[in-house]
Amino acid sequence: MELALQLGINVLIPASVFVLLIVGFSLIYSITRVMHVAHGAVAIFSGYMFHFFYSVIGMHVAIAVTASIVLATLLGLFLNELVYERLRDQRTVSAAGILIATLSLLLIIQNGMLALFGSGTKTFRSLKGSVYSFGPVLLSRHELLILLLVPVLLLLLWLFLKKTRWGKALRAVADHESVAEVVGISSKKARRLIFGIASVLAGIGGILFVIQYNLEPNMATSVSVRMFYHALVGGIGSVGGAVLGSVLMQGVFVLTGWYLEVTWANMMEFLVLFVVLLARPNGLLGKRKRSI
Amino acid sequence: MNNRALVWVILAIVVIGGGILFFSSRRAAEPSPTPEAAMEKDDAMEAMELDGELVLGAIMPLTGDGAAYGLPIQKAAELAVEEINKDGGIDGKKLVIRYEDGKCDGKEALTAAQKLLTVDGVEAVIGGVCSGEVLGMAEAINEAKAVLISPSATSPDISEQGGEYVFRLVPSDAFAANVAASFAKDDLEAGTVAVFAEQTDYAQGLRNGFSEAYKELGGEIVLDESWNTGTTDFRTQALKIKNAGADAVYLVPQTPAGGIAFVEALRDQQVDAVILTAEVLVGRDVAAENSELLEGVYGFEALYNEEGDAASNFLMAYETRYGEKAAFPFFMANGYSSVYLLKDLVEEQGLNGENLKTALFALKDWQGGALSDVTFDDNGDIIWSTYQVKRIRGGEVTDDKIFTF
Repeated sequence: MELALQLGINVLIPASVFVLLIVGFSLIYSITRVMHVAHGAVAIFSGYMFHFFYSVIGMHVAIAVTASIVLATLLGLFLNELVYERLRDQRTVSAAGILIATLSLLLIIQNGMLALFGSGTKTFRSLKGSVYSFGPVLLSRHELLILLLVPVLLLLLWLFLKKTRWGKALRAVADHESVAEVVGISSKKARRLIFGIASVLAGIGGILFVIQYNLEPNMATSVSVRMFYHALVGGIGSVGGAVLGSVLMQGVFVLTGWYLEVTWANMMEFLVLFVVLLARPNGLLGKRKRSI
Repeated sequence: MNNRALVWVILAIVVIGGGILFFSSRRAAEPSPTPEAAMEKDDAMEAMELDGELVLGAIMPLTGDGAAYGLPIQKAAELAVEEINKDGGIDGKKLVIRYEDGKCDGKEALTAAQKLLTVDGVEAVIGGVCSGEVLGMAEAINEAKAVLISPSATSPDISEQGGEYVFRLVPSDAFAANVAASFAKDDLEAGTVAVFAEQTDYAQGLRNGFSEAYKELGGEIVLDESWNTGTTDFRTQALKIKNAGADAVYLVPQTPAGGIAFVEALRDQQVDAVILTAEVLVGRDVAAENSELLEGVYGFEALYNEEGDAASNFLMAYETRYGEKAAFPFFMANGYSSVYLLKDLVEEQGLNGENLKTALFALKDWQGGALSDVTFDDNGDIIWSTYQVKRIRGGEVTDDKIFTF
């Protein structure tokens, strides 16, 4: 029981951080049909901005967090406007073209960070706070923050999608773009809105991630790749799928690390991905039709 | 193209262009030259006096995590090149080193080596910095009959698999692992140890060496595991070590990134086992930047007397030239000295791989660069007899016990 609790927490911490990225990636895909793999790089970009404002310039942590999230959001909107919208205008560009574009963006952002900030590992140890014990489980202040903040953000996102007019408009576009256009919903505005929301979440997720796991440029790729296949497992296009995919894959990671060796974790994760996709090609909670 | 799109494109060009300008001006302002920049500078200064070029190759990680080693060693080698060219070059020719990025990876190093050997036709290569790089390119080096001198690849596998053209200025980790095991068992009196190493040639070499030596001494290894490069979350591993009740953890990362994340997890989970590690985490800059986190961590290094004349001259020249302290004094001194070693041998033997190999084996107590007493054994490994335990205290890497074989 004690062990289950400890391992459960070990699953929930990384799963919570990643779900913020996965849910954004997933919603972007269902509304715009863009596989925005560079989304992970936007999160790491946010981490680097935070490093710059907080560690280099020495701003107050709250201002540094806000500024980083704003910049990450601008980057997300900028990518949508400059790259994806333009590719969309040119009808000849295929899905593969968009994938090549997003992978290029990922590498551009990653190498930009490398060039500007160097290859060294940046740490934010003072921000992790002191360690509290809850029975057998030891949690730092930052880990506690992750576990409390992420469910609140997910709940807000869910309420936004289900209850507000804008949320309903987004779902309408995801359901059927042309019909939504007919009833007066601008799909272009919907795309901007979802890129904005997803990038805010990536901005927050990026900062939570780098405080917990440190920061170096190569993380842009590794985070993006993990985000991508965790989303595939859960099923692209729903908040529930994002949560399920994230928890399941981190579960595989932790259990492999505990019962076998962590060096086997990648293999086991891809094995699970393979089995899931064989049984359910759209992921565990994926629907055949795209909708949120 | 409509007007709005045009505005976006112009904006993007301005931003990217501005970024590149900002970056390149920053790089130019730094004292550290990229090799190309150094060459250009040398061109301007030396073209008058020196006649022709003498080209050596170098393969080291210049990007990625391994650049934490590669770049400082490159700077040290480049310092030697500058000094030699200022002093008349080699036989009146300008010395030039062609650097290729080995990315701390065997496959990348092999590609780089093939380029240097076939396109540039080099007869001598300095590198690789990582053991994986050396093992990856050893066969190509031997086939081409060019000599390879590594400043820092320590895997025990290189002694056997390196072949006769591979030399190194660092001793094999077979010894360092023995020192760590005997220090853990006899000095720390640790009865149980957990061993965790990154999944790379260098780290696995130390892991195997340590586990064998420690078991021979009668200790118990409670966990003996590896992790893949890029793993970020070590909470479960920390929990495992805690539950196993290990007295000490022998932790071998390939680069600081994984090692720091692992130690953080151990601290956060309040694991009170003593932390023993290899060279990476006792890098002088790593220790200073993470002083609180790494307090009390033990590391094991070949004893390189930094106070000796040649060594302190080099370290001072490096600090003056680049405005920073040497992060890995021994490895960097080797990078610097390997250039001088090749200079001496080329002047004696000419630039020919086979002759250089024979000369390297015949070498006895060579002194030069920042080293003294360089003699190679039958495997091309430097003969070395003393090791030192290092301990991080208050961000400083302090000296502890000395082992002599």
